[in-house]
Amino acid sequence: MRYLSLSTFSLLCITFVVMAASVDPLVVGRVIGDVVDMFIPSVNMSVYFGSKHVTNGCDIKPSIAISPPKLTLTGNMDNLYTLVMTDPDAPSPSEPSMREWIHWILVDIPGGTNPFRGKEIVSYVGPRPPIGIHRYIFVLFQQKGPLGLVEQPPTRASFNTRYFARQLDLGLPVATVYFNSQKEPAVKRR
Amino acid sequence: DSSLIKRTCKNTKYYNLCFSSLKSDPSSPNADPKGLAVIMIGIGMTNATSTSSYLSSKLLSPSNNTTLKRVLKECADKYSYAGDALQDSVQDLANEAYDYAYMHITAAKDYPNACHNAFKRYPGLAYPRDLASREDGLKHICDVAMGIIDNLDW
Repeated sequence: MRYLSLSTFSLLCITFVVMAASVDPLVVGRVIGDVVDMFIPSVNMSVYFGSKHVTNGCDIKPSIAISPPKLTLTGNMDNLYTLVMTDPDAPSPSEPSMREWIHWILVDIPGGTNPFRGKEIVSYVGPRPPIGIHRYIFVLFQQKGPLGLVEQPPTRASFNTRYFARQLDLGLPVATVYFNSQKEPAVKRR
Repeated sequence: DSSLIKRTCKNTKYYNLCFSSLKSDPSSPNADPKGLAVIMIGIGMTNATSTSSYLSSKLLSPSNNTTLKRVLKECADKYSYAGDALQDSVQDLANEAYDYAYMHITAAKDYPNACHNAFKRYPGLAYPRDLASREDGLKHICDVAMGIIDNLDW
């Protein structure tokens, strides 16, 4: 047979997509699944804590992440973006009863700039993982227009990024990155 | 007077535990609701620390069961961390970061689970009954503290 049949071609495409998904660090780290759905990144977002560049799954010490990161994104100046940072492992990865814990939310960020050009909905709080290794996820959405007034969640606990995106008609993410963090050994106070 | 203690405890999961614990503390008559939460958390810290010490003391007994010793060591560490988490929540209350206080107490409540799970990894090891009751004790204290914080204005 000179040509692949349509069904064989479809199977090959599906296989390729599944293979690609299975090695995607966002899938391996279960960011896709626990926090967001599968998406195609269309914007570049770079995140630095000091000189440390955040790459998917890297380790960041809480002590170097006390202040907001330096975050820049590409994208057209006319586009507006929403940034959400959460912890799906609160208070512990084995029993994340407070999933997701909000660390930062900003809206109306112009493309090609940084979060401080946007409007802060929830102020930044750095990672404070009380037990176990936590994931901290930055999720970027493109807005369909200015959001203006966005209601501040009543508490940082039990937030849902998907639900939030649906409420504001943000669609799927355009960029994400996540890091791991765990409690640093403390000097005993007793 | 104990009317504030009664009102505060009414909103918690274990009224009797809450009332008897707070009533027996000498500083509770002068405490506001946040102060009552701090007292309860302090009781939790004492409880967690004493369980950690108790487990450490069991390590000293002559035994050639190296698996049991390793698990006891792990459990002693877990209860010590629970005490640390409760200490963090006292600091959070002082900073009026009530959501973090709540989160750290929830974490303190999960460390006993980690200890229990360590025993479950080895079917040959029986989970000691006295440790099970200490686990429940700490969890109930945490539930009471969380109930008090739930009703603070935040």
